[in-house]
Amino acid sequence: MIQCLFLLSDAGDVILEKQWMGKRVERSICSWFWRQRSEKEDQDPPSVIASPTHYLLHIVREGVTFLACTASEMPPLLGIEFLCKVASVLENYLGGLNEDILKDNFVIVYEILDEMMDSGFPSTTEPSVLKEIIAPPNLVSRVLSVVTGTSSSLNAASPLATSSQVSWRASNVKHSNNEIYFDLVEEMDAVFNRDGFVVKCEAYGEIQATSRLSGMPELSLTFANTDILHDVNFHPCVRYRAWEADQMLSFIPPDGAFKLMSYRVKGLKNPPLFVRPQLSSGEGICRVNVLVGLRGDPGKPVDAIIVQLPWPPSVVSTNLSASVGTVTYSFSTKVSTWIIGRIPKDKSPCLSGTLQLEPGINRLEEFPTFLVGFKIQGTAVSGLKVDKMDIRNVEYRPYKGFRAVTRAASYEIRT
Amino acid sequence: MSALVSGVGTDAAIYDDPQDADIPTLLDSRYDADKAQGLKRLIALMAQGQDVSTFFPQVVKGVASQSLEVKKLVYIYLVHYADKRPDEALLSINSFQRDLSDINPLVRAWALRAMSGIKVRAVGPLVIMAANKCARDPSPYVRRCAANAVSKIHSMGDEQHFDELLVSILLNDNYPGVAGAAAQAFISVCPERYSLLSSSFRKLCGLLYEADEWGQISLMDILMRYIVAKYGVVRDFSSVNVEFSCLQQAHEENGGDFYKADTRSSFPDERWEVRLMLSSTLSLLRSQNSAVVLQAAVIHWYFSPGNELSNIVKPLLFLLRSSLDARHVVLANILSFSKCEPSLFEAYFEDFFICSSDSQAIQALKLDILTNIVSDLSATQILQELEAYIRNPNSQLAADAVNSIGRCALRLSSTVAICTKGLLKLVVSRSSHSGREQYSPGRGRVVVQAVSSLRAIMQKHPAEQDQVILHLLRNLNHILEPTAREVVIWMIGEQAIARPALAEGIPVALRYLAKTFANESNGTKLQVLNCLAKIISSSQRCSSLKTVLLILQYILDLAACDLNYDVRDRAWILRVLLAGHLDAIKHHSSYDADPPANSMFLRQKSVPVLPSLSLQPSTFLPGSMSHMVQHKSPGYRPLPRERYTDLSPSSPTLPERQPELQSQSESTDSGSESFESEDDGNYTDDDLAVISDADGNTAKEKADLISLSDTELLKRDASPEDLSPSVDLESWLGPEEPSNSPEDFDKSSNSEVKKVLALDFTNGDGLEVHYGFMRGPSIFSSSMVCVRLFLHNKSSEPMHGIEINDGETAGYAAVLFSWLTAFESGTARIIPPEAVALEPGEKTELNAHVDFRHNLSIVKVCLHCNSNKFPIKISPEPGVLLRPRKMSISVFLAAEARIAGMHRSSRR
Repeated sequence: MIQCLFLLSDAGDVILEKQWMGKRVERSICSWFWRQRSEKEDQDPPSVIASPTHYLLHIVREGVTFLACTASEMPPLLGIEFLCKVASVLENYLGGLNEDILKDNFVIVYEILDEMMDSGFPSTTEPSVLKEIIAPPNLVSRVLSVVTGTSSSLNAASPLATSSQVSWRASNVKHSNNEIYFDLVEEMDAVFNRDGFVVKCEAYGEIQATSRLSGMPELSLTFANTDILHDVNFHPCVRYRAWEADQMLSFIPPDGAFKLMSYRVKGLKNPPLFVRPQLSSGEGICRVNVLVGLRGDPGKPVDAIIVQLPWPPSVVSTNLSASVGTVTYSFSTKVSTWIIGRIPKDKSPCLSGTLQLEPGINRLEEFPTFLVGFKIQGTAVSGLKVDKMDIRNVEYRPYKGFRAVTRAASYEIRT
Repeated sequence: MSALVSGVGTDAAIYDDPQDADIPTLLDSRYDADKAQGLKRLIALMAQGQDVSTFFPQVVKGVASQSLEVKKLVYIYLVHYADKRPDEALLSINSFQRDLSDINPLVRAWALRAMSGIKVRAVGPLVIMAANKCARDPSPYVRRCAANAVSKIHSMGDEQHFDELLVSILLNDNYPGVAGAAAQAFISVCPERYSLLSSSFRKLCGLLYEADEWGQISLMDILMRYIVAKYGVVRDFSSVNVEFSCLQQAHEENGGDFYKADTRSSFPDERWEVRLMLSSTLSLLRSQNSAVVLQAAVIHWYFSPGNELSNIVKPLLFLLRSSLDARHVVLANILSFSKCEPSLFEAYFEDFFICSSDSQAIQALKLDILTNIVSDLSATQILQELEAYIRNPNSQLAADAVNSIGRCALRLSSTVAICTKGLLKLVVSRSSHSGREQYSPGRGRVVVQAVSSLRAIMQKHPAEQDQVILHLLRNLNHILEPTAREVVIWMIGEQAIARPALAEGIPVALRYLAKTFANESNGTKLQVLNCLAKIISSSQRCSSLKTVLLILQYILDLAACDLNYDVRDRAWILRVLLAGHLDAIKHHSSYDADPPANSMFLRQKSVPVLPSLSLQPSTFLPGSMSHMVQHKSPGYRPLPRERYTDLSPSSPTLPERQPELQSQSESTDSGSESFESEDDGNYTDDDLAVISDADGNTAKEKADLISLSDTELLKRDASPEDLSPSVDLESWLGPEEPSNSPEDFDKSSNSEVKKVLALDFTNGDGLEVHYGFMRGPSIFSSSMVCVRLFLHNKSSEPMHGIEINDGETAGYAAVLFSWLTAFESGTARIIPPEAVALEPGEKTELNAHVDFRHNLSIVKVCLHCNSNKFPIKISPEPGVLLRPRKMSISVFLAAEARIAGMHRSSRR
């Protein structure tokens, strides 16, 4: 089982360590890990590695490395999922995650870690339950602590949720304004081959809900077109049988923010952007011409368009200019970044210029893959539509909100 | 301003400079606020890696504080340093005990947590009492804490029976969170006590969906092992399918819709447990927690009938997108699955296409999976995709892609032509444009890989060689990478044997090689020499033989003066082996092949296997740590062996323990009571001592006759008589003098001894060990007790060097010697028996003499067998430890008169 956890800063220093088992793990393991990591320069080592003494599991969040050690057999995914959970709980508690925030709140971090794991096995990890045991830091309590001199992040009341019927929700939740929001956040993955054809185009979506509802509300959410969903997974509060039978989400929500469901829609036909690169090289010089344009009408404006052009090692310098937006080149990483923003109506964005190749190399033989980023507010590119949301078991009529946004996640153009 | 505000009231200052106040004073303060300050400073020091265990005594006092915060901080400190200062931790025991009755469940739970962290033998009983109390607490939070504490208590090594008792109480808890933690305790305390599960199996399956995600993982693990122990698996990594027809048939009878039903009536099949487990884990495949999904997928992998196996595919693939941190582990498991059942993932090849954010380990796994699942339908797309990777600036990916193309061709013969063509084109194009100065290592790697892939394809499909070899020959001067040249030259040598069509080209190539020989790398030089030898041995009568022999002579002369001794040696060897040929040049005569040299050079080579890029296939349980790290990690437990693999699988009445419905009368029926018998005996909640006494065994072990030897049969036949009441009574009342002679003692009947399982044959590599207490004094020391060990070799291999010791000293003599010295000082714990050897199926009995120090704590000993080590625990029960006492007859009679009733009744 997990023996200890180290939080490492992006320089490899230990921010704090938490030991759960009697057998302590020495800090030297961290420097071993950091060496492994720096040996492979640009790449993260695999999430599970065996050191001479321990098995190390790690994830990286916002520059902070969460490193767990174990000396015995355990499901490695359990460890990784636990680390993810720790990271998300801490982020949720502290409103962010970086070295300074962790140091500022180290006592609360210790208290949380102590609750989340007991003798090497995950214990209370549900954020809403944790919040009943350990109150999140907020400005009022801080100021109060300065004024009165006492500071306690622990709630004196006994944790009620653990005795409630549903483990993720306390039975006595009260809000003055009852409201629930659903955010459809979709990420688009697409790969275009060098002829401009779509190799793969799919959307991964999450429904992130924020619930501020009193009592024990029974919610049901139906979609107009569930048949497009290729894969789904659910928050534990969702009743699986109802989904199997009626393709309907029926659940009692936890209080606060949670990820209700994630899904994937495969085989999309309408990637919103096209990028046409042309590279022609000869005599030590490569001519570049890249065109970007909208492909069909996504309905809402496409924002924050950005194209990253990572050049192969044989490129020495670049001389590129764009008709729309700005181009910057980083010498250390050999990446050109073209920030377009929104495509103007009258002009089509075009990037052109030349690359200087290493002396002795005539033609480019390794071809870069361009990465595209964009954002579309107000639309879910997969076409998933919420039909209706019902609420039962409560007296009030809550405010309901729906939003949608699409982002590019791994939108790649091969050249 | 906002920076100022956000800094207010945080602990930043404490972290940055924890020692700017006097910590001992703060800790000793009367005010909770000061104490909390001091503790926070200590924790800050702890976080920074300093050892602050010297403050232990002062910190421990803080437990008594009423402030919840101080308590929590103290507990954090205690858990961190519990192992360092156990004795000082004892100081706080009273406060802990008071906290155990606090009204706040948090405090009760924390107290138990801290208490169980103290690793001092003396507090063992107190902790057990506390855990016992907490296991019955009204708050599920506390009960869960009790479950977690059980494994810690267990690691102290005391009172195993209590551990198991607790586990069974907690497993029966109706609160899902508690059952999950209890499952984890079960794994760490008594992973083989499957009988504990049989009564609550249905309930645990029902709780599965409601348990928290971590509990689900543990619960699935124990349920799966229970089912494996009972029925075996449907599918394995070594052989697909077993006795699975039975399961499938039942499925058809049910009309295939058993998932929707949850009553027992819908599982008429006696394997209702399997179906219940499958149906209750189906929904977990939709969990957001990747560990849960994988564990559920492993269950379905092992048990679901073929047509339902596809249930696991989509959830597993979705993990690759929904849990990015889990990708590496998930891919490694998919690789194992796809190796066994490629058809499962065939249609989903797109999910394994590489995107630029994938790390190198993930790329390698994806390529391996792609080559596993390539089929005629997907070949075109996969090959196109692999071709695209070759253009990638990442040379490692490009080389791996080339390797994968080779493996695709080896797997699918329909793609051989196109792959060969592509690889050849690649070799030519990548080689031709580079001058010797402008040589890039990345490009070289691709060429080497391409040539190696070509070689493997050629060896498997020799039909299309001519063109390939000619092509390579023609481009030999452009192929600069030494390793690639070696491979090409090797191919020339091999192909020349079978291909007369190459005869024209070979002398030209050899002349070229002779010219460049001096500048070649050492490896290439060796290959050139080998190649020449092969050509000469195979083509004595061809027209160009003379040219070849001259070239050979020339190269041998060159090589004989080479700087490298390997090359020189090779040249000399060849000179001797081919002496006949060389003479023939001089005398202008033909020479008949020398058979030994021919057979040496012209042996048929086996087709090489292109190595996989990531993990080697292994038989470790998917989803386990061992599977990821490719070695057996400490604490790894393989799936339990099925108990009745020896029975014919088609037998209609497969052994199965009847749950509550069946009457006990059936239990005499040979083979029907079966499952629990091997190691559990008649195990109930009331009687936790694991007893498998003679009467229990006879009926059951008949089912196991196949593995029993003749001598054993005799013994077994005799045992029913032992059980008859008359014999029993006689043995009770018969004259039995307490004898000091161990030999006499050994002769007392086995049926009187309670046998306790110490080592299951599944864990002991086929060696099963029971032990029993002989209730007699030891010849060695009055403080020792004689323990009889019953060894049984259930494997098919002989075992030798079986001996037992305390784990530190090895060898009987050494142990005896160390005992002699230890005996003087009074520290000896065990006098081991002499080493023995066992033939397959043989049984034997040994006597060990153990000093239990007059308490009921467990003694751990070490069993050595075939140079393996197995830890064994001997736990005494009340009434087996004897202490001889001298008394006169009159005192004895007086003492005897005071004893009421049948004082010998504890015999059985």
